[in-house]
Amino acid sequence: MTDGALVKRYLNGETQAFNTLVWRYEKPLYNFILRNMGNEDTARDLCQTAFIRMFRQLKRLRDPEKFAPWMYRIALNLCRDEFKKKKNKKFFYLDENPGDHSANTMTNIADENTPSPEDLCHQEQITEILKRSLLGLPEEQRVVIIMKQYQGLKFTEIADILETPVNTVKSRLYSGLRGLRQILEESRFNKEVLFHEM
Amino acid sequence: MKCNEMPEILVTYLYDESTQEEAKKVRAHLKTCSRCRKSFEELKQTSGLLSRWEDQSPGISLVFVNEPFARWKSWKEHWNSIGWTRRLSLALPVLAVCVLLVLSALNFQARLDNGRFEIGLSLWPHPQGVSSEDLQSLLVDFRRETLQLTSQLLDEREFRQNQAVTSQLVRFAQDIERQRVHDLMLVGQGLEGLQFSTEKRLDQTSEVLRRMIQLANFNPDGR
Repeated sequence: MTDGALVKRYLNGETQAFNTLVWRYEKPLYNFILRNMGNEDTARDLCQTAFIRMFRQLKRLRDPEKFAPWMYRIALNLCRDEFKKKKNKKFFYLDENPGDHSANTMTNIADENTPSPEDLCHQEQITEILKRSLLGLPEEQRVVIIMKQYQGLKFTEIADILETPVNTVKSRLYSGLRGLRQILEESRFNKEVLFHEM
Repeated sequence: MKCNEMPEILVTYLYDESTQEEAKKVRAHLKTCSRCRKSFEELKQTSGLLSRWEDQSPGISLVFVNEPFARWKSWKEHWNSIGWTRRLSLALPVLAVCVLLVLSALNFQARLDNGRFEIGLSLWPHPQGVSSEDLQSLLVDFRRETLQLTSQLLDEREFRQNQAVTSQLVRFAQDIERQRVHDLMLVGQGLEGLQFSTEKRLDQTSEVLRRMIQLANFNPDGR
């Protein structure tokens, strides 16, 4: 059953149809938020908040077939709000100048308390490195990378969610991937080990 | 195909969204341009590294229910999580409000009297309002009751008066009887005294007569 059909059934009073949507998108949405925020507890909270917001606002969705883009837009807005809240708490630093990934960025990501680079070559540690590296990217690039690389959305769908031209999305993705590579190369992490893993 | 146009084209090719014709052109360009080839290899490598971050399970199980039930459940969980003092401080005002509402509901009055609609709400019972018909009826009943009571009062008074007169008469009769007996006794005593004195005088008269007879008999000439 398509998302649109489930949305219509929910709007006709079947709460169970919404549960089906939740089960369908729970994992993708959680991982989308997790990769955006870099923290599991925050991701879990925001994921729940996103679904609650959808549950309450689903009646406002004009085109039921566009449930997924609408859902990602809600999640993205929640992530942005959360970033704003945490900005003053010095939780982590975002690069203020897209494309200028200085060594300072990595200093913040891999500070004194992080495990030594030698230890970071196993699967879980690669995940940790990627998590921190992604957080070093500007938000607009990170979001595009996550949507394309992990959510498997088409460029047109990403453009629709972000309300941005398709070429801008592609450009951000290119810059993001380049920036990410630069962050990894400039870091103290062993890039040979990292890229050898592929 | 120019190198400065490549970024967008390369990412499209990297994620398999190029048309067949476009892909063919890209492959041809990459064969001839080492800079773009290197750039593409790096993009591919970075993308490959990113794919090492696998999806995780959220570890949550969301089930949506109707909102009223959810609110009730949430409230119940909150209630169970707070301490007794907090519960008491929440429950007492609620209880007070409930009591006030119940009292208000119990003392709510709505009435239609001669086309006039009246409602009343108070915490304590209203003084009972009386319509003019009810008032007339009550007045008639009151008058009837008053008359009945007056009648009963008069009857009782008459009865008491009769009783008093009767007892007076009885007492008077008793007094008269007592006086009569006393008088009769006195008359009897008087008659007895009179009889005694009469008998005494008769005896004296008889004695006198006997002596006179004796005297007469002693002198037969009598002259």
